[in-house]
Amino acid sequence: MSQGVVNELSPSRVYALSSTFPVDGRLTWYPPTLRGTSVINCYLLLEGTNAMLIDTGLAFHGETLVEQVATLLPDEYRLRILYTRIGDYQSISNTPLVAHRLGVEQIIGAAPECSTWTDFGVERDWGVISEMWSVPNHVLRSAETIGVDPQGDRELHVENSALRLLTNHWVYDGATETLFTGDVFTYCIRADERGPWLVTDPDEVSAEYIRTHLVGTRYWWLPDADAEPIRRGLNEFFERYKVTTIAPGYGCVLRGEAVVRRHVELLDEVLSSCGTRPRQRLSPAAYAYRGRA
Amino acid sequence: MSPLLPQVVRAPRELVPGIWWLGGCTAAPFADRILHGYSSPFLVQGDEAALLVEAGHPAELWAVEQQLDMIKGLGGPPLKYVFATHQEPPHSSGAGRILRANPEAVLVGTVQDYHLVFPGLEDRFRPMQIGESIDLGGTQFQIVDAVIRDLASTQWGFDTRRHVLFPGDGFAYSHYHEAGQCQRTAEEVPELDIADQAALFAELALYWTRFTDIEPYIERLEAMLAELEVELIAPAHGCPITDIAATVPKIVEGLRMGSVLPDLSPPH
Repeated sequence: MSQGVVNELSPSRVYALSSTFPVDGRLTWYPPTLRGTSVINCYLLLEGTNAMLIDTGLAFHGETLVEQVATLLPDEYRLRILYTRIGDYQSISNTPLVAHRLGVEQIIGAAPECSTWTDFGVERDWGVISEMWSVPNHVLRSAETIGVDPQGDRELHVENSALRLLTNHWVYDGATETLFTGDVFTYCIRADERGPWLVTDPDEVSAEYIRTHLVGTRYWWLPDADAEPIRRGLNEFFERYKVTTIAPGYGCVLRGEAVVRRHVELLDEVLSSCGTRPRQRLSPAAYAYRGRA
Repeated sequence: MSPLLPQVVRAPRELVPGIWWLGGCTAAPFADRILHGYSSPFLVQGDEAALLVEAGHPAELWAVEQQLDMIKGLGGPPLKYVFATHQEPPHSSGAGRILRANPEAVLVGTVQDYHLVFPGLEDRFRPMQIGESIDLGGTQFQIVDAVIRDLASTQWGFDTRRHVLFPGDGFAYSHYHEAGQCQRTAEEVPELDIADQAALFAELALYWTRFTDIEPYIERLEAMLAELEVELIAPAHGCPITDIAATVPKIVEGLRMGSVLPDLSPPH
């Protein structure tokens, strides 16, 4: 049984649209021995009549998500969807349902024709194929600026995260100092469905807990990695942008300047302990991508 | 319909008796050219049952469904198993729809996450571990270690009768549509710079190889090919490989190149 939860992260501007699910050893997103309850998060950004939905979640909460979005949208709206991770089910699964019920003007993601990545629902009674294949797409570059509104008064800075397995575009909303991090900072869960789904205590988790989470999930390769370039990339990012809310694709939202600072430090501490095995260094000059020119 | 997506369903290609190559090509612009890539499913037929390796890229499910119908029309054993190497849409997105269309079929192998992706089908998931196998009649489909992977849960498959390895994301590389390279094996497109293309894929999709020593993985890969006496490699994202000795070294060179290349992502 899943429960839908809506948290207003910035008044009338950013909403976390969450649905609970059990962490019970059946997921690749959490270490196999971890137990508790987590949430999958989509985020609705509003600016006047313009709406941007960041990620569309998984099939198990599709109806809940549509209801959450519909309740928050103004009477007249222009809805677009932005994917943090085109290659993950958590980002894309409910796109056809949202598009069919609410109408979507554009889909933004890191692949050509990314709307066509979404038509895999078991039920497809509504003729979704033709609908999805006609939705305009925008292909994300490794870093760029996207406006929530057409005038670009509220800009989102989008760039591929320095820590990633596959393409994972972080989205920074400067107007609300909120960073949407996809599959990073996803580790905070709760004992049961009561939540709360916001973390406000800077000392709730330890570096060892985060390390166990990363290595037990998609960052299995970190113990043998030379993570210094990743550390540098993350540090540069957080020096460039002031972040007071970290909004991950699943798990609790990290809330407040002190909490964010602490979690960024903990992640850096984990990454600094990586690299137990020296990497065989080959010179990039030894190779040049021959098809590039 | 999009100019970047397949507009006709190509006939499935039987690589060796009972091993069918399905799917189509998806296109992506890169460096002023259009690169084609695969997310290929393969149908493995035994004497009594058939198993589908990979369940198709979402953009190609309509084509895969028609190809399965074409093969069904030729006779052969019923589809009883679907095996996806890992939990990403290009590899497993068709699982729910294919299970619904084939009431006898079950999803086998690594089945984590799918209860939330395909709710209502949980009773048709059969988790299997590395080392376990399925008897298809006259051949076994073995679950083997995924040497080159992104998700840790990834599994590879191996057909014992025809010595075919199904390595998911391993042995991945693109090809050029305009050069007539679609639906060809690696050895049928000798002009394709496989090492170069494999390096590009590694750089874009195997990000972790930039930060780790790739050599232990290459050693394990070569040992596996020898131990299983692999005769045909059927990757999800590359041309099938029919000459192991000639082509695998090019892939290995590409893995090494991809692990040291600078960021080739499109410019900001």
